[in-house]
Amino acid sequence: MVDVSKYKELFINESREHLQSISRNLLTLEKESENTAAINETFRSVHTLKGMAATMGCPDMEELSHEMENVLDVLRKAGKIEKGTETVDVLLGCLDGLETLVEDVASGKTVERDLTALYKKLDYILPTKEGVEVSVAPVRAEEKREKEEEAGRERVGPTIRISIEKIQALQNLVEELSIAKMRLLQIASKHAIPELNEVTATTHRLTSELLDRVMEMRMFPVAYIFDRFSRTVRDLSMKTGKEVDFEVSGREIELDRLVLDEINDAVMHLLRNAVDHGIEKPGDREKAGKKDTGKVMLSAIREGNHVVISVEDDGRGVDIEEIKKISVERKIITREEASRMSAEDVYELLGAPGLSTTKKITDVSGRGVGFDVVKSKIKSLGGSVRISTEKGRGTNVELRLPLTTAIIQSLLVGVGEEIYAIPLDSVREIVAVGEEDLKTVEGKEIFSYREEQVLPLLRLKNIFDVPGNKDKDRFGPVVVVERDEKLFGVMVDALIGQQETVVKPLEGMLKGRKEFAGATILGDGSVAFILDVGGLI
Amino acid sequence: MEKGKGKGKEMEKVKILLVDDSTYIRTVLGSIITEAGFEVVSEAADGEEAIRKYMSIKPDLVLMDVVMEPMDGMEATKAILDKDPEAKIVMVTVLEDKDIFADLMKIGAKGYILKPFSKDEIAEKIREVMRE
Repeated sequence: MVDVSKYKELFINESREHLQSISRNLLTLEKESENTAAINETFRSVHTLKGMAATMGCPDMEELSHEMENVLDVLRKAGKIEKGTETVDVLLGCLDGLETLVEDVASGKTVERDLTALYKKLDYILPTKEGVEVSVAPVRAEEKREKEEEAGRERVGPTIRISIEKIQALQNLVEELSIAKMRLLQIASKHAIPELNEVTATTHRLTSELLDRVMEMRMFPVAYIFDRFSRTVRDLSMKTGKEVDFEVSGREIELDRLVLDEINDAVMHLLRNAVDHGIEKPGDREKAGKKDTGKVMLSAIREGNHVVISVEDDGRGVDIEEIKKISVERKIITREEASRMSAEDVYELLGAPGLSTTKKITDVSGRGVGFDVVKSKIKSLGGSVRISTEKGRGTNVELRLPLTTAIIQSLLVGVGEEIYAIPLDSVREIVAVGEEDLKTVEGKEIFSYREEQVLPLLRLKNIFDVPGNKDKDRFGPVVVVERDEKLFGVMVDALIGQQETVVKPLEGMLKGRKEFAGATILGDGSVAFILDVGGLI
Repeated sequence: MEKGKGKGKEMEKVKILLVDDSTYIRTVLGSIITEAGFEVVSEAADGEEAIRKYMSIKPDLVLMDVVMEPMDGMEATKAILDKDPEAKIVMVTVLEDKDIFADLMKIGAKGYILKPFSKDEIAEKIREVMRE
């Protein structure tokens, strides 16, 4: 036999891709039983898996895919799926079986799996097993191809697989390079030599482009995680006895591959919430004057340097007054605070740890289970979460994520001898604040902003206890920053300028500091901290 | 048409074009072929790419998968033989249907190798076809 163990990873990755494609196509078939493109694609993926399993030496996997292939071959020739849901159910069961077998290979364990139940079910949908022969005769190739183009199948050029670690290593080098470039720019600007300037300008342009290209390599369509969710929603709606129409859009939108891995659970969670707690049972929906079938929509759109992923349902929504009441009972807020709270503030409460774990609120509002986990996960990726909900009408949760977390635009500010970087995303504007604008309330400084607004003022110098500059009451420019739709002012000593900033994660003792999102190396080789404005208050 | 292609190749490595829609299979097959002393000159993931690469590279031999998309191995084999009747094409497949093998031979494939394959089996088949 051939030693194939060194290709195990390749085998597992490719198998997973096929499993995902099969899952997606089966779910399409459940809705459109005559979608021949989906039948053909499923057949082909199963067939490829069989060949791979044979080569890898996985007899169980080979046999199971062989049996599935037989069934699919019959369906392929019939051009449609009879007994729609039932057949899809059986095939999905087999798919789970294949998945288990692939994961067994991945874990390296030899596990005896009893697959007879699956074979029995396959036999049931295809009783004439002996009479079946697999044929590869092209099913009127021309027509088939046209249909698949209609189905939006994309053709891509030859590709190679590169591990994310290798890309990361490449990216680190490019980042180091762009730091060296910034130094070069700084030196060049001191000497004003035309030839040197020309070279530095070219270097500047090329490094930026190089960096963009490397970043591009890390990008992956959200379909990578989205496609699994159809299955989740389907299974959950069956289990809970709800009728759910699941719509997915923006599958082609790309995000950093590592970010995708990180948000998978969060999105899964929101979808579960939407089906489990959002969507009502068909009877209840009817009483509320809605269609029996509920709608859950998962979408991704690109907005500038961000990707917004939203999970929306047309279920029962959240009852704001009820949440206020319970939050007061649970002593999360006072009665007085509750009366002052706007709807937006109440949604914020959903993310409060004490509230989200209570069973009672879950029953009443249908939301909140582990919502704080979702929120902190998205925040840790530099993103934000927004909920809007209307009682009886539905809920929409938006996850706003930066395209990448590695390079950001930032505003460099000086405080005493030190330099800090404020991510430009969170900077609203820069204002001058005079003594007459300033007030002290309950020991906290506030200033009036745009006439009618009053914002808290933070002096960076005091927060970080920056040495030098003894004059405590000196006035410097105020950077108005925004976090979770809250504004506040940060007073600094000087504004230095805007710059492309390579974010390096903090390690050791500094790692847990909530004030910092990371650090960066400046053109002169010195280190500056990148502020996490949310962590300042 | 290049007549007598493949003759007098004893001194040189046999140049092979690998066609399979699975990257994994191509990788495994490729390493076997290289170990056996042949050369993989190029790879293709479907029939159309196979035809294009065959015409530009003119390899000594093609190892061709059957079930692929958008164009399958049968169609690609026919098209290549249409353009170059001397082409040496060996099918690599998991299919077990005897009729299909008859069809494969009828359209002009020089032989077939079943998945799972062994190194010896592949090397032997390649030598056999190249001797013809």
